[in-house]
Amino acid sequence: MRSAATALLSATVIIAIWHYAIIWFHVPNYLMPAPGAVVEALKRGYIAGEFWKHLVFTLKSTLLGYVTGCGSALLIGAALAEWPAVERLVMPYIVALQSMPKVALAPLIIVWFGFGLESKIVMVALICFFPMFVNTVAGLRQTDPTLIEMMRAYSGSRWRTFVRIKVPAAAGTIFAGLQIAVVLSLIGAIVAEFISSTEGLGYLISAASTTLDTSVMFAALFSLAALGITGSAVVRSVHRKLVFWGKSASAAAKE
Amino acid sequence: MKGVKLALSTYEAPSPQPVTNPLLTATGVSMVYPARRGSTTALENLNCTLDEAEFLSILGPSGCGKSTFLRLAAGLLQPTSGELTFRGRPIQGPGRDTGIVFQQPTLLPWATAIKNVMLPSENLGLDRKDSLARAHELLRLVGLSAYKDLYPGEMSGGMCQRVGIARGLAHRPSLLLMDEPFAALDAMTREHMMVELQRIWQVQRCSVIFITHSIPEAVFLSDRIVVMGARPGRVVRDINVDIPRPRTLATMSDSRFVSLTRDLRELFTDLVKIG
Ligand SMILES: Nc1ncnc2c1ncn2[C@@H]1O[C@H](COP(=O)(O)OP(=O)(O)O)[C@@H](O)[C@H]1O
Ligand SMILES: [Mg+2]
Repeated sequence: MRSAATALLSATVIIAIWHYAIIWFHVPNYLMPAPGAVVEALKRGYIAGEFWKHLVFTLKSTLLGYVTGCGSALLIGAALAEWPAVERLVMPYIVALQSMPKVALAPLIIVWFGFGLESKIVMVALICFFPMFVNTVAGLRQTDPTLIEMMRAYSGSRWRTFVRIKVPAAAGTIFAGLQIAVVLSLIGAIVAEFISSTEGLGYLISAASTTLDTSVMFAALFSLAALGITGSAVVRSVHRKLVFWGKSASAAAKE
Repeated sequence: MKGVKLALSTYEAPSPQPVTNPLLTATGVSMVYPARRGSTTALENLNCTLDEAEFLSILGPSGCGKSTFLRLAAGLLQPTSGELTFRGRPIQGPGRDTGIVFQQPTLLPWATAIKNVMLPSENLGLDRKDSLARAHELLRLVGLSAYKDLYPGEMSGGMCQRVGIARGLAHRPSLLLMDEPFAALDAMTREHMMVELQRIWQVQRCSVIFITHSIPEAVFLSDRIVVMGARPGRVVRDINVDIPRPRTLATMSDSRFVSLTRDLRELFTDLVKIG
């Protein structure tokens, strides 16, 4: 309650400074819009205009790419953590791909997957893959060895050890990867849209830049921020629900 | 309930039959841990037997290979030489008939007390209804009925260790291995747990190998005490404890208890000096 009040107060102050700075310093609209103009652009865009269409497009590519990228990272990461042979087979390619800036691949992806939704999904998936992959492998490997030995002493099969011990032990780290991937997935979607698209919030920003319509650009940026914040909040709340025991719980159990 | 009655009647009429086949035997067991610079000989030519329903304590200074011996008995390690047998068969891996309690509770933080207790039965694919009933019975035995749905993070160290003991007995093992199970507890809880363990064992009547640093604990709980020496780990003394059961805290001021404790303390002091 108090933190909400503080946030509201600081937002009010910042918006007020922004508003009056533009009036006092005579900042032209093509450099920086006034808060009122941004609100106006948001209203126009979402009520009468085409903002929804763009928002849905970006949301779709982000979500589908996020699920594909994180899902495959989870599977490949788990296989790699469990079977050394898979590690020897796959790791060199993953390291090579990881050391490459994924954004540099965007034009190639557009050539291969076209100008539509598919290329955006691939770009998002690619960019989400690595943090998720690294965290999955690290999480599964950092499982408390005493728990694994306990499971062995009680005749636990390899599959049960994986499901009952390693996956829950890695859950916290995996969720950290999912959290990082939320922000990265939006970056991936916007980059792909910048390069070639006729839809999406990224397209909206680059289209508005040609007419120096900064209020629309700001409106699109705020929409993106809202997507990012919502995504992070969803991941965080699922994280809290599923990984309810936390680090302190296992530490407390040991004392 | 039937098991309880049976165990109690066994206790009231102790029939010391001549034991023909020990449950566990260790014959000339040596364990060498390989290392980059020189290897560690944790155990050398260790001989020991354990009878059915016997409570055996292993006393010894730190680093004399007590945990190593326990892990060999659990089938978690294979000896470098010598042989360990369980009911006459060489131990080749973790067995279905053995339970183990570690120094730390080693519970799953994401599972409730009852779920933790059920883990061994689930691993072994035992009947679910039976194992659930058994888990309830064991939690009652360790005095945690009311806490069965708590997570380890919500319980004290002593409660967690009791869940660990209940888990050790879940699949009705003939052998329970305990590696300094009370070492992480405070002195008061420790004494209480010691009395509790005797009570639990008298109901369950399995064989126990109990590793401890505490001489009174060993004397209080055991039928037999094996004293180990360090560098290399070996058996120094094998002592029978002929103090009638059930033993109570009052037993601890009994003259037999006091003199045995004193003898062991002297032996121990010498061992530590030499080691
Ligand atoms: N996994 C291991 N690798 C190498 N050396 C070990 C290992 N485990 C134990 N040791 C060594 O073996 C000896 C006996 O250890 P341990 O069985 O843990 O003794 P205790 O339980 O009596 O304190 C010690 O010197 C210890 O350092
Ligand atoms: Mg030890």
